[in-house]
Amino acid sequence: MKIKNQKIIDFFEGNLSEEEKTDLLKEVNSNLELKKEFESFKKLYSSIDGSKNVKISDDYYESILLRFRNRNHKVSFLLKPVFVTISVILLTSSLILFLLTRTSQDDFNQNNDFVEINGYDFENVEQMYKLVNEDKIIDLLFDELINKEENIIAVKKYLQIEDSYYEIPESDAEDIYQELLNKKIL
Amino acid sequence: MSDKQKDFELIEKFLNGDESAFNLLVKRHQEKIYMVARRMLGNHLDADEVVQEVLLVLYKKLNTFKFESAFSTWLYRITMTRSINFLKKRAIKNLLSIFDLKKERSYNQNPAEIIEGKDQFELVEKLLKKLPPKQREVFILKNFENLKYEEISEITGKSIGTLKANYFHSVNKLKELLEKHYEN
Repeated sequence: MKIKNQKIIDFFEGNLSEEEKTDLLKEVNSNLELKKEFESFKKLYSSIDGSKNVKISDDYYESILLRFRNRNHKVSFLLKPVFVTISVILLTSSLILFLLTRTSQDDFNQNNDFVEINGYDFENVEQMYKLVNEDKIIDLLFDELINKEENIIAVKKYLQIEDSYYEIPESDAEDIYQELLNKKIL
Repeated sequence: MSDKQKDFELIEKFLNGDESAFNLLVKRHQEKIYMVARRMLGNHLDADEVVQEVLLVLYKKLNTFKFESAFSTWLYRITMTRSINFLKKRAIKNLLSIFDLKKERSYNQNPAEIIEGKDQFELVEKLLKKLPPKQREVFILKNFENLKYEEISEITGKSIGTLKANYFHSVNKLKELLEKHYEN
């Protein structure tokens, strides 16, 4: 049946000579099982042809470049030397301010059990800490996921990857860790 | 001037600093990028994300284009790579159930309005989603983009024998899926 299916596919894709077409049609008409297969392929090719006539609205195509340019402009702006310099100065000033405030507050509260930390400054330090350590955390988590055999088997099964040497790309695994970090699971 | 030459001319203009040439290049090919991504991913929102990724890669990497093969071959390669990466990421996320509820999407939502051929398009889209990515890739490039095996081989880096085998399996699988669809 595999050979016949190939013939039928060739028929619908225009790869058979006139003589081959006639021979196949004769065979199809004299064999019920083959006729059923032929009709199924006919329906498939008809659906495929029908789906080629799709037309998407022009509004969407008009929006593609506009959104790309907007997004790209924002990224370019964030990477401009002036913007980066100002950000670094602001961040450094905030850190110095925070350390000074914290020192004076520590002195003030040294005999108290509860030490109040300014929320804004705390946020900055937390962000800086996160920036410095995020890469290390991602590396550690990546190693852990890759070393768990059952994860790899499940992923391969889901993706129907036959190659037993296939490894999950680092970028995919990092994406997972990022999701975990975002959800504050870690 | 042939399409290939026109593309080359626009790329050269862009590389010499003409931003409008990039716009023209994208406009010439955006439908192709979207439709390939859409058929690979099976929904508008993911396809749209891949389209934006492809444009970013084009914008940043056009200076590495060698002018040896057609621009469309290079573009298909980028679109397919981004789409397959997207499929893998999506599959891993779903598998590990870490899909953030806030980010969960309504895949029925379809902001890109299909003006014509909606029923047949959605039926085939539903069937294609059930094919493994390797089979889906060759099926889309051969059937919808009308490429020859030699061209598909250049895009995917796979041998013609492998592609033919994948294509044969994809057509048979789609036929079976369609039979089941009509039975139900």
